[in-house]
Amino acid sequence: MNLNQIVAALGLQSLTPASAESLQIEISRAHASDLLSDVLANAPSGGVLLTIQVHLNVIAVALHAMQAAVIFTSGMVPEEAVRNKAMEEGIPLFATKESTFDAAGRLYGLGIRGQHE
Amino acid sequence: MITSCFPIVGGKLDDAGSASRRLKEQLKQIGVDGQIMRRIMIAAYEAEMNVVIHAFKGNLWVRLDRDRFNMEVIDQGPGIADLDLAMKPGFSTASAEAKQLGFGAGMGLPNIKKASDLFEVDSHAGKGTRVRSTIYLKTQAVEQPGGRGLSVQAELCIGCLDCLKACPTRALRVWNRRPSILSTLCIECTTCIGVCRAGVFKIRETGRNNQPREPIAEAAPQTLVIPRAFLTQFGSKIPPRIVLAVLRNLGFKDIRFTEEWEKELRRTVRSYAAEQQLYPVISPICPAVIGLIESQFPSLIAQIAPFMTPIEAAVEACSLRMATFVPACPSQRTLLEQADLSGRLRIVNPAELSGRLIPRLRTQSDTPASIQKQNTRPTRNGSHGPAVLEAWGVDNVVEILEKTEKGLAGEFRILELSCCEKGCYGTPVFEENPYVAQKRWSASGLERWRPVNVVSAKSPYRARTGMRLDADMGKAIEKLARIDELAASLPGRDCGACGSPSCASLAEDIVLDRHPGLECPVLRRGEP
Amino acid sequence: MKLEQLIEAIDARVLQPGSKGRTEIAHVFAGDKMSALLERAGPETMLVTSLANTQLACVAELMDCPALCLVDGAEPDPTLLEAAARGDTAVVVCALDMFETCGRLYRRLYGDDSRRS
Repeated sequence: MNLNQIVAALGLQSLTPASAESLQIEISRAHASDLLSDVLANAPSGGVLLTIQVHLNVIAVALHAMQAAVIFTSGMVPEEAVRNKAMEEGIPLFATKESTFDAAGRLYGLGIRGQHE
Repeated sequence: MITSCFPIVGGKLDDAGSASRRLKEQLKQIGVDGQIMRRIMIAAYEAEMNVVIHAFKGNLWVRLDRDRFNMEVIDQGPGIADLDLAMKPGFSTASAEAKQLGFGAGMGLPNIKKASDLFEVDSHAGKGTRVRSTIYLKTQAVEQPGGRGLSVQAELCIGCLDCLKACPTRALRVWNRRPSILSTLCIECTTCIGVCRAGVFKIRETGRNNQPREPIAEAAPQTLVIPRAFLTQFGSKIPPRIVLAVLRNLGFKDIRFTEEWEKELRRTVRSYAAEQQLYPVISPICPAVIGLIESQFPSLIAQIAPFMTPIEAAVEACSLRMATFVPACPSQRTLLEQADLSGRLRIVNPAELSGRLIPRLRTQSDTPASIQKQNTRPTRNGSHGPAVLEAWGVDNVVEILEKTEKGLAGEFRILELSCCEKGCYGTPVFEENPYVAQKRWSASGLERWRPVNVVSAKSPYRARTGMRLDADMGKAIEKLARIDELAASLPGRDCGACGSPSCASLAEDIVLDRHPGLECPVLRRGEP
Repeated sequence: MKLEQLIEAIDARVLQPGSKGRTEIAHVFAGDKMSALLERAGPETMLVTSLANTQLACVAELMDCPALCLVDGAEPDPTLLEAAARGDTAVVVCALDMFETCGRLYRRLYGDDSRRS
């Protein structure tokens, strides 16, 4: 499933204008965490990140962990500075009103998996 | 009045929380429960953790009055350098250690404020901080903030007050930016759902006892009853028959429309009306209109044709099998919940069903070439005839009922009134424009005739008594006098600043003690 | 749904059984921020988190939350288990990461409805 299809299936709100190429990326993994240290250490690369952590550092961490996109859950939306940094670094940001649990559940239903299988 | 003090030791994260725990024990003894307890616990715990994380030591002072809980958390510590910054969600000065443990989200003070009815924080750098919170105890309105079929997400409220004026029965209040529905006055008509820009009001999702969300797929019951409008909500590229096909794939082999029973009801009422002397006869097609009549126009109850509303008739028809129902409005939701005595009924809100469908619909949308020629003859839904008045929209319905009450509607034999525009097509729960939606249905070629039964109402429609000022007539009269007197002293602007829709409502709220601390802010400010 | 059924879905180990009368779970909330866990904890909610500190038990007790699920095979302090025992809160741990855990719990709670037809 590619990022575009995920966005459509979950009804995600787009927070950054994403390039056509980045939306075509195939996604098969995801990680859910609000602790940046955990994301850095454990998030599978090329996956999407689900989090409510809207601090500026989340962008740097997501980049280092090579995440394909960050989805902010529970209606959390980061400030403009964070969105601008994401645009600079080319990492797409999305938001959903659903909780991490519900968003993860729906992604799982679409075939996305975590680290272990 | 009870006063207590619970000491807090700074720095020890492991032991923290003991003050809040002891407070909880005390409050349980006096019977504080539910939402109020939750809010108090959130305020107390966040305040206590602030002391533990940032200060040397502190005290949690509590004063319990008859109608309110007052808390003061005073600490000795470095104090807060910039209070505005501290109140900003996300800003935190917690240590890295605290953050690793999940603290330091920067939501402490904002969350205490959100949980409180009154909130104050002051601090002196180098000395310490004091946080004060007041949470009102009781009232019914605050404890069960929804009308029976509605859910209220108070935290989304932006304070525009549009809902206050829009509610036809003046059942809404916005106290401390926390919208509440007085359930005794609410007729569950969807007006607030349609008017609120922030999405505060929705059809309630869980059952009255907070039953879990209904799983749809596994062992899905075979029968599904939906409003026709549901099939028309997916845009111009996904016609109703595709939505129908996907619903069948989900496991619903037998799909019925609430309108099938509505159509039959209209026909039946026509015959019924021919035999009546008292005109106009009111056709019970919209349950919210029935609620409106029962609360605001009880003198017209006798004119309601004594049949069940379409959704209730549908439930009766499906009573011998498992069926899933999709309500178009909170009023239908409540009727479904009440009818579900056997537990056989599944109730799924439209948004949830759409959510399940959308991933499958994406793979099935029509390309223009594959759409067959549709039957475009519009369907006749109303029982047209010169003596039948069809009207939509709460304002129109209220006006017509007022005329009827005054005896000015005798030229009509039948009134077919719905709160939503074009019947269920116009419920705000559906996004598509009601005219577009209805046209899409009539063009779909799916119209079929199936025999259905109209069912006589099991019990007669009755006036709602919840609105009475007092069960005792003498006391009710006294209260009325006090309300009138109080109302006369208010500015009469109906501005809504107090949280009630009108000055008359505020007077009523004060005399009936619906909420502590009510007053007119305009008078308090001393404006002429 | 009963806690036992959820535990089974994620192959979790029970560290603290909790109260017999409180095993009905209607909602799940997943996250690592104490403020959010505090806000969403409730009498029929299970909290899923990668945190493992004692305060989790305190939050559960204050909000009458019946169950805590720790992910990533975390080994909590004995103090957490003591505090949980005092509050009658069940504590289970599973080896999966938070995303997998949420995905499987969601599927068990709400059914798998993205079977391709």
